[in-house]
Amino acid sequence: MEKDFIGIDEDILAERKRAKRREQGVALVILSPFVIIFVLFCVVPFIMGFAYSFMRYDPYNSDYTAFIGFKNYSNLFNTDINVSKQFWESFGPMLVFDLVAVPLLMIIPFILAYFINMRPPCYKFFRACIYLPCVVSISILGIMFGEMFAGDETGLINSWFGTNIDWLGGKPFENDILRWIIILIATIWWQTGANFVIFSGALRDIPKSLYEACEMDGGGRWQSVIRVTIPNMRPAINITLFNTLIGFLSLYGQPYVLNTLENQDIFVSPMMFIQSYLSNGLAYAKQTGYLCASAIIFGLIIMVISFVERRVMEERHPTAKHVAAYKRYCDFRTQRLEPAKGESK
Amino acid sequence: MNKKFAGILCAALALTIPLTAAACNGGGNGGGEWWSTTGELEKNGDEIVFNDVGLRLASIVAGADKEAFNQIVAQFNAEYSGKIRVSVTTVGYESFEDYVARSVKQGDKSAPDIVMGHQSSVKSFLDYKVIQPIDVVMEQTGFDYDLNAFSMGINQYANAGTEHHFGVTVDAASMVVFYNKELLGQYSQAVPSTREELFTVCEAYANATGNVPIAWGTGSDFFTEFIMNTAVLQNGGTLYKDDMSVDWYDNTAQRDVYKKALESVRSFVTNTPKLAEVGGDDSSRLGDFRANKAMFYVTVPWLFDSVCQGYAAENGCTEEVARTEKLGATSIAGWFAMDSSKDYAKKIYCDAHMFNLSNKVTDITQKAACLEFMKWFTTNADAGTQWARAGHVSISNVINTKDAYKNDAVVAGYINKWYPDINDLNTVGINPYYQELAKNLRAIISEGLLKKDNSGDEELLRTKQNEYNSNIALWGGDL
Amino acid sequence: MNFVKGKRKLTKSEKHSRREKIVSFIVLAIASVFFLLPLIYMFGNSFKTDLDLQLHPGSLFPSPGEWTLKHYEGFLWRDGKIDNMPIWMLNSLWSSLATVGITLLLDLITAYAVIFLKFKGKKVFMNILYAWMAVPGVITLAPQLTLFNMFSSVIGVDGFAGNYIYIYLWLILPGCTGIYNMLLMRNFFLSIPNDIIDSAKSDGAGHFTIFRKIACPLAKSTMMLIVLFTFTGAWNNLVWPQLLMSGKDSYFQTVTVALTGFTGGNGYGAKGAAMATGVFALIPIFIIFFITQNKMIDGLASTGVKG
Repeated sequence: MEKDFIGIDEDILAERKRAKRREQGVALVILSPFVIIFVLFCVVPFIMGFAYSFMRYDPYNSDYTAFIGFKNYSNLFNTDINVSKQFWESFGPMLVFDLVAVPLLMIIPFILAYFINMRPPCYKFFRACIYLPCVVSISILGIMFGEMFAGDETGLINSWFGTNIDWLGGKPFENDILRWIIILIATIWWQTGANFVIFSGALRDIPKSLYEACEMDGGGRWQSVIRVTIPNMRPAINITLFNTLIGFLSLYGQPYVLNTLENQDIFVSPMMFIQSYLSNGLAYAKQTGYLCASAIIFGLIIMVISFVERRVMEERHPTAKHVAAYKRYCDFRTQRLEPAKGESK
Repeated sequence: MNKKFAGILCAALALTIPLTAAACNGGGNGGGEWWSTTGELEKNGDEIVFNDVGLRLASIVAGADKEAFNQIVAQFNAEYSGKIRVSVTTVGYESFEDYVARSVKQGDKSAPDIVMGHQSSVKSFLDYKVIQPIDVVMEQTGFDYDLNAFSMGINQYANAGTEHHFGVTVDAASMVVFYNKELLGQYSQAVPSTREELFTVCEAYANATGNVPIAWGTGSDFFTEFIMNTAVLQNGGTLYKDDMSVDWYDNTAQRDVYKKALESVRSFVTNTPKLAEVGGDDSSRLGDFRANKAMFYVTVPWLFDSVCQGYAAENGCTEEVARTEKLGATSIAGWFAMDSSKDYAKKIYCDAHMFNLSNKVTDITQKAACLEFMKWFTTNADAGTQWARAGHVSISNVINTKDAYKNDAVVAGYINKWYPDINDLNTVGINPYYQELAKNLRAIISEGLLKKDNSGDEELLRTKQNEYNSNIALWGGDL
Repeated sequence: MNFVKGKRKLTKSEKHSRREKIVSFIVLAIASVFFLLPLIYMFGNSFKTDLDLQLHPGSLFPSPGEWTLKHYEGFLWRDGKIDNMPIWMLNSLWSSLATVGITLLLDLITAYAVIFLKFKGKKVFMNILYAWMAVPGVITLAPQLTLFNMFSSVIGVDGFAGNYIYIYLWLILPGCTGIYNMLLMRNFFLSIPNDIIDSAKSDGAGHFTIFRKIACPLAKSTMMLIVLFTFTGAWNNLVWPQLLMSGKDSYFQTVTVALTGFTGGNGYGAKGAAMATGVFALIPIFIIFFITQNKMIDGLASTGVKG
């Protein structure tokens, strides 16, 4: 940069330098609130958590504190210890649930957004209905679905069908498939709105001309979805997929509120495991380091999964480029209104 | 660029290490006495002079009984106006121990002087040195307070296994039974007091009407915990060993007891005709009792008012009539004892509240004031009655022998019928891993009740025993 | 299509679009029933008497003549003082709004600084943030709790008001550091053509003017998106508030934390009261929702989502 100014008056140079320094100062002032909060509430606790995971640490007794190397981690990976077994077992139900729930929470909002985009009568009402559950808090969701699917005759669904099914009972991988279906329904009910809103915004902004071009190519509805809609919504899909995935890996609220006595103490997600031991009486305080280690391992697993997800989504970038080319080509053609020869399929 | 990155990392580390170190503040004082005493006692004759001493009390009582507790404290404050003033902070069950330990260790201004928690916390409190012995204070002040005038089944744990006395157990609560006087009167002259009598009456009623005679909700936390533990005690078992581990399966005598206990509860459900149902909670079963279908209703004592009100509303009578004429009370003593001749057959497992003196208190006058409050609460008949009406029977022999307490309508009609002999009451004692214990015992009964026969019981006991032992080995910090 | 007979003959694409609308209307109507049913069920049942709840669990609304407000009694005023319920709602409401406000402000100014200001270490700063996005919040839970407790004794937090402010500080501020939102904002600012900024600068506008007059108005749709993400996130947050508030005065709780007492295996006690509590807790948020939803959703043009 400075090279450009060679030969210019010294004063101007100094003036610019001062301006630069001033800008530096302004930037520092502007950034400082974010940085301070970020360091205090994220960075420091993170490093502390990392440190604790290598320590025998009891928040109420400093005499107990000692550096013990990888002991916490070796305990965590030793499945002979029942608690460690619980930790690893808690991944199972969560992962299976995510495998089903994440795709559904992409597809269902997409379908609904697609229909909303057709602007049927009272679409604004429908839109509000679909988004509404997002502002219902998880505990109220628990009250509603818990009572609807209550295990005895007092539940809405049981009394509608005259059954006596224990919807929310059972144990993971044994007989609690119904419970997970209910949790899935409740989750779809609760979380569809968030993705739906983003999708419908993205859908609305796809130029009509692209569809028309596709139609002229002889592409049906299905083809227009594949070739125009989805590629053009890629940014929106990327964001929602990432958010949904990360959110569901930390599954906690739904199983916490939808359970019965029989399975309320069984951890079905690592988040439940950590949360339940973290603040549950003095009896657990001696193993705070162990709990920090389990949080770090869980965090690492989330990191790996989200990294893989991003990698997979990135690899399709060439396709996105292709789509951009296709889009330009379509724009060009819709303007000229003449089919290009030899190029159309 | 990398240098800068490393620099920032170093700065962050430098910031964190003192914080990490600082977070480990408030250490223990090693062995010996960890408490200290300051100040001089001012006496007027034999009486200690209190001059507007302010005390903070941390209470775990957070349910429907919270109001009653606050009122009793208000009454104390009124009586001791100008002398002692107690202010109550209610702390939720989940973090009660954390709260007390942290605030006392850190020396917070808001830390409690008196701790009213569950009895099971006393061992943890002692391990972390957040409470101090009260017998020492009594010696120092010459305070007159009989620490043995309590139901010893419960208060035996007040010394937490040491030579000192660390607390005063106040009350107890367990599952209680209401019965429908009219229905029972048709089938029996007396209220059944043993398991055999109970079965005879219930079977006669079930055969005659086709109704399920006992309404209970096996899906509630309270039911599973109280009933399972009571069944174990009534069959002569112990809940855990002295070293806090359990031998429910490994010890054949215990295994038999636990199997008997499971069977004794299960037989209510598997019996023909069926005497009770599996599942549901107190509120979903209450309907059967209010509609005069069920003869007995097993529930928790603090729902007393709502049971009477609900029954009165549905049967078109006043609450007073429902309480005195329509409904009666009996206890679960003997319900689960396979051999009713044994002396342990009438035992009832209870949950108990306990007063502890926090280690924050150093001033001698303040210590005496804390004791004064504990003494008042456990000897004042009025306080005992009010607290009993909120669902917590007094285990103080002083209160129990006072006429004002004994003659109270609710105490005479219900409380004393629910807990016929306070010396038969038992608690979980001083196990710091109480939550793990309760969790596993709850799991045993709720899983055991789902099975039709006892074929899976041994395996169930073995799994739960090993899980508990493995868990406490980790949480104890030995690993 | 019989019903269009006699009218002007519709073109193919008009017919097509009409059919489209009918199909989508039907699908959305069914979906709306699904999304409304649990709410209607809760609303209707909260007015049932205890007996009616017992006898007719399968009906959505109370039997005729059996409507009762019994379960709602005392929600606002109980025993001569304000009941917990309105307090919980206010707690949730103001803390969520504060989280949204602070997040927006922080994201706007930080993103502005990153894009429009030149300063040393910008690259390092951004690299750290990018790397941090991958760090899940769960790792910091336990140490955050330790810090929370430690500072409280260092500062000597005492009394009702002190505790309240302290807890809510810890509830709100950690929620404002979402890097994701900041990057959304940054990406948006990146898309503002430099010419606009340069011409404003040559007109003598300072950073504050550019920020206020150009950057903020342009960023409206991204702001909407951040509002949406942050508000629903803060309102539904359970894990962290649960840790902070357990064992504190019940006046301190948020609705989400307070109402977990009515659910699942904890669900002990009256069904009607649970329902009424749920309905009551939803009232303020629904009012806000119905006032703002149209603008908010409409304002969410996809320009906000540039991944």
